[in-house]
Amino acid sequence: MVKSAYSSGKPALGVGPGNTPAIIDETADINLAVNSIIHSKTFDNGMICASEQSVIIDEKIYEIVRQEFISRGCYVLNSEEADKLRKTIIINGSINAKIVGQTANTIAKLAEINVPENTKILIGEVESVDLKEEFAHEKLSPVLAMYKAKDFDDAIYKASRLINDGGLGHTSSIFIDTKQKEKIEKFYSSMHTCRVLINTPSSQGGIGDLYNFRLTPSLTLGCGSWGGNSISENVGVKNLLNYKIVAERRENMLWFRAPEKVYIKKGCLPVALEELKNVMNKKRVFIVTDTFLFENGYTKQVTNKLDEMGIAHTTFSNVEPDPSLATATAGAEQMNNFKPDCIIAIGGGSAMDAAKIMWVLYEHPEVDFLDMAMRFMDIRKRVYTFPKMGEKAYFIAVPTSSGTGSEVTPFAVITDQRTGTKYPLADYELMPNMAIVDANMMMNAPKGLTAASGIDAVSHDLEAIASMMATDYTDGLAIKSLKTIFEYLPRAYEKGAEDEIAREKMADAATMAGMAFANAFLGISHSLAHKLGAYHHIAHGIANALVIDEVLRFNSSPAPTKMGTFPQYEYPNTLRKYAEVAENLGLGGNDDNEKLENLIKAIDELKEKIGIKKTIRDYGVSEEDFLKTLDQMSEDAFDDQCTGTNPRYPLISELKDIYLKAYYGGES
Amino acid sequence: MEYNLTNELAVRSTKNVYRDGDKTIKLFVPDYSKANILNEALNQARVEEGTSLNIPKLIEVRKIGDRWALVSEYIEGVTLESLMNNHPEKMDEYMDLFVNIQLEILENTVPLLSTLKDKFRRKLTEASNINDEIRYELLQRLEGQKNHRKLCHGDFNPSNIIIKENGEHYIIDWAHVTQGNASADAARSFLLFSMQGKASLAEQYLRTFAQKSGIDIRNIQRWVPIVAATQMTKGREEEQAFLSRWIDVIEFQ
Repeated sequence: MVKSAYSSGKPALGVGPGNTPAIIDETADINLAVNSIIHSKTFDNGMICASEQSVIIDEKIYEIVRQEFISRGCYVLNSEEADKLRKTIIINGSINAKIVGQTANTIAKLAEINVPENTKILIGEVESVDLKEEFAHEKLSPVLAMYKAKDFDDAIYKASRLINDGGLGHTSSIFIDTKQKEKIEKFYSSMHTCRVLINTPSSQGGIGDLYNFRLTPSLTLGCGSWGGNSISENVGVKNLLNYKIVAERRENMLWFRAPEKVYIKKGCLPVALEELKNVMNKKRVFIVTDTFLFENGYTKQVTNKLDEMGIAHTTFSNVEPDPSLATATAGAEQMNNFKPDCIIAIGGGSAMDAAKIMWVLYEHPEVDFLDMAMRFMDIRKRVYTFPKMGEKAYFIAVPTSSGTGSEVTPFAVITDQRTGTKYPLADYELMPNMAIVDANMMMNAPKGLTAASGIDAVSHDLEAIASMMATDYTDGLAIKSLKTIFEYLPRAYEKGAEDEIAREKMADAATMAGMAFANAFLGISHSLAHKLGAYHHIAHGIANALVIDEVLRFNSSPAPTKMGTFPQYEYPNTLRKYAEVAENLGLGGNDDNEKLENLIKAIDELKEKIGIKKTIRDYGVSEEDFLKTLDQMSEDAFDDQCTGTNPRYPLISELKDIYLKAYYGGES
Repeated sequence: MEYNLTNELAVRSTKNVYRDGDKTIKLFVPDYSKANILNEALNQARVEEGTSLNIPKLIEVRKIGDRWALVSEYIEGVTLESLMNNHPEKMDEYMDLFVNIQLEILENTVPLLSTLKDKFRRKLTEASNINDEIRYELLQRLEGQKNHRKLCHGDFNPSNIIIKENGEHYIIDWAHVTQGNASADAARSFLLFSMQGKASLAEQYLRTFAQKSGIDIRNIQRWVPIVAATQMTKGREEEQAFLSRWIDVIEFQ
């Protein structure tokens, strides 16, 4: 009937048959067990689908239990009588309708067996738990199969088989000393039943409320997907009610998070480091950097100070660009040997990212990388809980270029060298504890690096401003950062170490941009740039510079194909935000569209001043290679973690179109 | 042409069967439903044209005097039933063959045939010798079965398989063919063995079929009471007691 209800085309709450096994463990209270089962089996002559169909007894107590059943008025059949009863109760695998709900005596008469008139239950002592054994079926009558189990595991095996034979999802029962926690856990873990009853007559227990307070009173017992049902609980009025939920639009909580200490001003490095001894009493420092910086003495400024303070240190100087998991693992291994209580990352994004990963592997060698790399829609509601960081070592980041912002961000990108897969990790646990932004560390950065990292900071600001998660806090930082960059980046690029003020301004602007996007996140410029870097080895900052114009135009549409999804983002208003940027930069324009175009023009002029070329093609990517990878890049960019906060939700074809424009230049 | 109706092969309550050279003539009794006869001819033609199974070709449908006749190919050979009877020592081999042929039929689909569930539903509804309570139970059980479209012979038993001298097998008597569930067709064969008093052969058949088809025995058993009830509608007195015991079962949920 349940199956026909399900196939009727109307919604149905169906439940299934049971074949309840009851294990009597050697530790059970035998009196309670036997009399509970009799009480249950004789209720409505065994008509309750939760009632015991078989009893499985540990062989150590089998005889005592058997005698108890007999002394309480049950009849144990001899083998000839058992055969007669087999033929009576089951016909071709189905229950004989004539025995259902009849008394033991009536059923015995049907089978031509003589039993005392007031016999309570007919018991067949059987061995097979296979369906060929009629006693192994559900019987809906005061007929019970009785099995002898060699031990507890054998009892569980038999019970599982009986449930598979015809009671999947329904009910299982055990009589046991409740102190046997391990056995009980093993039992309920093994049983594919939605009700597991302990020391309870299963008819009265399964239908709820009388012998326990956990099951809803009901005669309709769901068997879950094990039993092919849509519900696994006891069906009640609740299942027939419509629940109405009134949900008002709410904005998600946002936050602003930054390292607990951000030290700034040119020359602050040695002063800031004094805290390691005077305040924090650190003893062992592990430095992470790249070979170039190490060989050119950048780490000296740190190690000299550490030596002066008598703090032990060691340096890992093998971080490569796009650091690999292998590098991070090697670094973490050295950390395990050295046992630092402080880690100092010195360098650009690569060194800081690699150090962050080493930090994770050092503090939590047990974590699974793929879990941490699991993507999310909202960093505040992610499924995976990142491990608590900072219990072994304090993390300090010292940037040597002005752009990545990694010293104040909760992000790190690591590449699996075996597959080439990049894992972007994002969690505020990855935020450095201290950032030391000292322009002295950046004075001699080469022109190309100044340009690429400077324009990277521009893209961080523009994306943080456009992001659906932008707040006034992040906007303030990003706009101020942009104003600084437009003013000082050309100077820093042209004059390098000669213009100390421009260097320092750029250092602060990049860190401010980092704080902005650490909280507002990024957008599709970064999605597109990540894949351009991965497929065509274009430096990250340059890649952003190449797509940013088109991204601005794309995001500005007042009627996008699809708009981004976030309660704070009420309607497509990104054009206004870009216009505000133009206003703050004093670029003029009569309306928002003009202001946008002026902003793009200003960006183009800035790029030109710092020697950034106009198109992807200009960077030596052949048309053939580009077109060959275009579809895959577009799809991967769509899938990038940065796409989620973009104010316009892109179609893959739209991303492809942006790539094409960025390749050929302008309107392709 | 005129047929020579002197070589009579079988006599049934509804028809006489004759052989004339390479032809079999089924001559129905005068008042037999022409719709049934034409339907049988149509079914056989559909299976003949819609599958590559070895079945006797239908040659013509005609009136001989006031009686309808179906004329088809005569297949020279012995029935699997007589092989089973004469060589009980080879029973395992014959049972394997029997089940293999049935599975070969079930692999086919012939979309225009009537469906097994429709036919069974009609028979259960019309059955006058089943009480309402049991009828309700069985109809519910039938509705709960899946809708399959496998070619079901409907009367698959060893007497309907003819083995030619060269070993080729032919399947005859397609009067009951439908499209439906393999389990139902197997339940019918199980019932046919059982009704002949061959309980252990029925069991052997059931095991073999379940094993070769990969169908759970319980799925076949679930059809047994339904198939038994449709058999009861044929109203054969001697079978009623046996069948009524088989249908009085319940499926409790």
